[in-house]
Amino acid sequence: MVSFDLLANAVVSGVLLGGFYAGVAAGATISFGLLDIANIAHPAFVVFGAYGAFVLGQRFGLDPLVAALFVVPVFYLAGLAVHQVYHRAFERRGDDSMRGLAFFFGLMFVGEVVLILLFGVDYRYTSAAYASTSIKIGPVALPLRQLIPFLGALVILAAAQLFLSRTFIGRAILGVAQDATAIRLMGADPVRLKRIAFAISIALAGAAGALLLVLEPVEPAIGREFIGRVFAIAVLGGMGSLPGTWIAAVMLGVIENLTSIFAGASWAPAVSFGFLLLTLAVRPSGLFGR
Amino acid sequence: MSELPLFHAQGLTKRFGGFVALDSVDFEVGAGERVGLIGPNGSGKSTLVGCASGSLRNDGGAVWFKDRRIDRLLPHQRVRAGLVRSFQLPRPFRGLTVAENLRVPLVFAGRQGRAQDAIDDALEFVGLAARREAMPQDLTQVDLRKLDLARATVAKPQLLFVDEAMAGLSHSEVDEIIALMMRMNERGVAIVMIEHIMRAVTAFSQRLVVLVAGRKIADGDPEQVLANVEVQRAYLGE
Amino acid sequence: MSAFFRFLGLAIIAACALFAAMRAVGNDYVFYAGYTVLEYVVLACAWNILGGYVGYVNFGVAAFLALGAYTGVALGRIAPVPLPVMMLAGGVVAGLVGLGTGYLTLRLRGIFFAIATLALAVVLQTLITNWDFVGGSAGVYAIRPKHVPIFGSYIQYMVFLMLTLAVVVVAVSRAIETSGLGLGFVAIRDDEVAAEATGVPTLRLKLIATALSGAFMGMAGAPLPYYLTFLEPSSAFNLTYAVNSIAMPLIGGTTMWFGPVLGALLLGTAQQVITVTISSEVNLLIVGLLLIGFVVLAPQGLIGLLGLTGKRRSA
Repeated sequence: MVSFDLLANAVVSGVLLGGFYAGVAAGATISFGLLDIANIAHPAFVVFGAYGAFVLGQRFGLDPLVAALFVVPVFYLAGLAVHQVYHRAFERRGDDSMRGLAFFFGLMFVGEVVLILLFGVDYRYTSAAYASTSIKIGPVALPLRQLIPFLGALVILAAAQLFLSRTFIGRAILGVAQDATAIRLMGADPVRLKRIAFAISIALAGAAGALLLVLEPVEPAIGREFIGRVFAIAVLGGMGSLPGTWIAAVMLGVIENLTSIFAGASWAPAVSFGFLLLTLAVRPSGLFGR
Repeated sequence: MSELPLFHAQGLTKRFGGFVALDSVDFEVGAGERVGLIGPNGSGKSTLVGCASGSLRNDGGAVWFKDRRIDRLLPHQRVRAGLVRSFQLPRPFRGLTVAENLRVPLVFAGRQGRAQDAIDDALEFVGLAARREAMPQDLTQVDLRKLDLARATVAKPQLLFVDEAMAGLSHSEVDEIIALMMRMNERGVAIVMIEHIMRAVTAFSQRLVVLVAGRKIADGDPEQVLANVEVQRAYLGE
Repeated sequence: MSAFFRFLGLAIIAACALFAAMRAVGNDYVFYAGYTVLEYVVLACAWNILGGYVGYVNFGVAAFLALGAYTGVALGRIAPVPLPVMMLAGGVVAGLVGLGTGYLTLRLRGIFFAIATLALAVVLQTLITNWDFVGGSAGVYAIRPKHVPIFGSYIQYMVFLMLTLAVVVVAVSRAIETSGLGLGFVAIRDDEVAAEATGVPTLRLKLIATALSGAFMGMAGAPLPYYLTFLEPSSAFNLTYAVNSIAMPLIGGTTMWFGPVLGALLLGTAQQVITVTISSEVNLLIVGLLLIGFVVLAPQGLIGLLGLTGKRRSA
C-alpha cells in the first residue's frame, strides 16, 4: 500500500515539476501555438540555456538565476537570427513545412553534438547552495531545487502573459496569430512581429534553461526528454494559451510522478507522449482548445 | 415541374463557435443553369461553397446532388459524383506541368484511358495548348485562372462552383474569363459564380442569389433582385 | 510496364555487380561497412516515399526500424525462423503500426503527424524496455548461425538480403513515381486542399504511403540484431537513424528515387570513413550541418544541383 505521505509528496513534487515544465513549454506555446512554427529544437535551446548558465557559473561564479539575466538577451538575439533564416528559407517560399521541420531537427541535432564536443557527455550541475536545501511543511517536503524552478516558471509565464496582453507589440503579435492581413492594414509589419515573438520564445527557452540547471544536472541530450512534454503541453494547453499551458503542464507533471511511483520510473517517459498521442487522436484542438 | 433540381441544399446551417455563418439557407441549382451568388464580405458565400463541396461540414440541413444526399461525403467523393469547385486564389500543383495538373482529376476519376485526349481538348478549350509543358510558376495570373478552371472541368462535372475567379484581373481579362465560363456552360456544366465584380455577375447570371449575414435575402431574376430594396441597403451599408 | 521491367533488370544487374565487387575485395570489413550503407539506402528511400513524395515528415524512423528488429527477436524466441521470414514479419508489423499512427493523425495537419511519430518512438522504446521477453532494458544476444550455404559467411548473407531489399525499395519508388499514385502524392504535397477538391482521395493515399514507408523500414530492421549480435533498446532506437534517414533524401533530393539513393551512398560511405578516421561525434556534426545547409540553400538537393530533377513525363 502506498502511504498518504508518499502520495502527498508525489503530488506536490509533481505540481512543482509540472510548473517547471510550463516554463519550458511557454516559449513553444508562443512559437508553435501563436506563430505556427513547429520548433522541434525548442527543448534543445532550453539545454543551451542550461549550459550557458553553467558556464557563467563556472567562469564568474554567477548563480543560475543571475546568469539567466545574461542568457535571456543573448538568446533573444539568437532567436532573431534563427527566425531570419527560417523566414527567408521556408516561410517566404511558402511551400515547405517539411523542410522547415527538417531544419529545426538539424539545429537540435547539431546543437547536441556541439555540446558533446565542448563539454563531453558527463552531467553538469550548479554549485548553488540552495540546490540541496529543502523546506518541510508537515509531512510534505519542498526541495528548493524544485520550488525555485516552479516559481521561476511562474514568473516567466506571467511576464509573457503580461507582455502579450498589455503591450502594443504583444497585442499586435496576438493579432498576427489571428489574421496577418488585418495587421498589415494597420500598418504593422507581420514578419517583424513574428520575428520578435519568435525571439521571445527563444529567450524564454534560455531562461527556462537556467531553471533546468537548478532543477537537475544536465547533459547534452537531455532536451530530447522534453520534446514530448513540450508539444504535449502546447497541444493540451490549447495552442497559444499561456494559462492553458500552465494547467496542462501541472497535470502532466503530477501524472508523470504518479506513474513513476505506481508503475516504475521506466514507464514515465511514455506518459507525456502517450498523452499526446491520445489527445491528437481524440481531441486535436487540445483539452482547453478554443 | 416535379423534376428535382441538379443541386439542392435545404436549411443549410453552419456555425463556427458561436458565430452563425449560414443560417438555414435554401439553395438550388438546375442542370445547366448559370447562377450568380453575391453578398458582402463575411455573408457566408464561401462557407456555402465549402459546405457544398465538402471542405466544411454543415451543422444543420441537408444537401442533395443528383437525387443523392451528399452532405456526409468526403470532398473527393463529391468530385467523383460530378460536383467541383475552384478557389479564390489559383491553387495549381506547383510541382507538375500544366498538362499533368489536368491529369490528376482524370486519374482519380478513373478516366485514365482517354486522358490524353481529354487533356488536349481541355487545354485547347481554355487556350493553354501552347503552355502544356510549362510549369505553373511561369504562367500569368489569368493563365493560372484558366488552368484552375480547366483542371476543375476536365473530368466533365455537372456542377462547378467558381469562388471569385476574377479578383485582381484586368478589364479585358475579366471579359476573357466570363466568355470562357459561358462556353463551359454551353457544354452543359451548371455554374455557380461567386463574385464581387458586379459587371461580371450581371453579364453571366441567369439567376441571382443574395446572402447577407448568413441568410438568403433574395433569389430570382437578376434585374429584379438588384432592384430589391433590401439588397441595395445591404450593399450601401457595406 | 516494359519500362518498369527494364528498370528492374538494370537495378538487379547493378546490384549483382556491386555484390561481386564486394566479394572480389575479399575483406569482411567491406561487407560490414557495405551493410550499413545499404541499410541507409533502404531507410532513405523508405522515408522518402512518405516524406519526399507526399511531404509528411516521419521523425520516428528508429521506431519502425526497431519494430522490425524486435519482431525478429520475438519470433526467434518462439521458433527458429529464417531471416527472410523475420524481415517479412517485421515489415508487416511496422507497416501496420504505420497504418495505425497514420489513421489516428493524418487527418490533422502534417505537423501533428511529425510530432506523433516522435511520440511513437518514445512510447515504443518504453514498451520494449519494459518487455523482458525480448530482453527488456538489459538487451538481447542474437547468435548468428555459423555457416550459411552458398554465401559462406553470415555477413555476406545479410548484405545479400539488404541488397535485395534495396532493389525492391528502389523499384517500388520508381513505380510510384511513374504511376497515378505518384501523381496523387505530388498533388497532396503541393496543395492538399486543392488535391482533395480535384478528386484525390487524400487520406487513403497518405495511409498507403505511411504503411509502405513503415513496412520497408521494418524489413530493414529485422537483420539488425544479427548485425550487432547484441541488441538493446537504446541502440535500436538511436536518433542517428532518424537524422540520417532524413538528411540523406534531403541532401540527395526528394523528388525522385535517385535522390535518396545518391544521398545514402555518398553520406553513408563518407560516414564509414569519418567514423573510423576522426570520430563519430564529428561525423554526426557533419551530417547535421549538411542537412541544415541543404534545406536552407539547396532545397532541390544534389539532383537539383546536378540538373537531374527532370520534369515528370505527361505521356
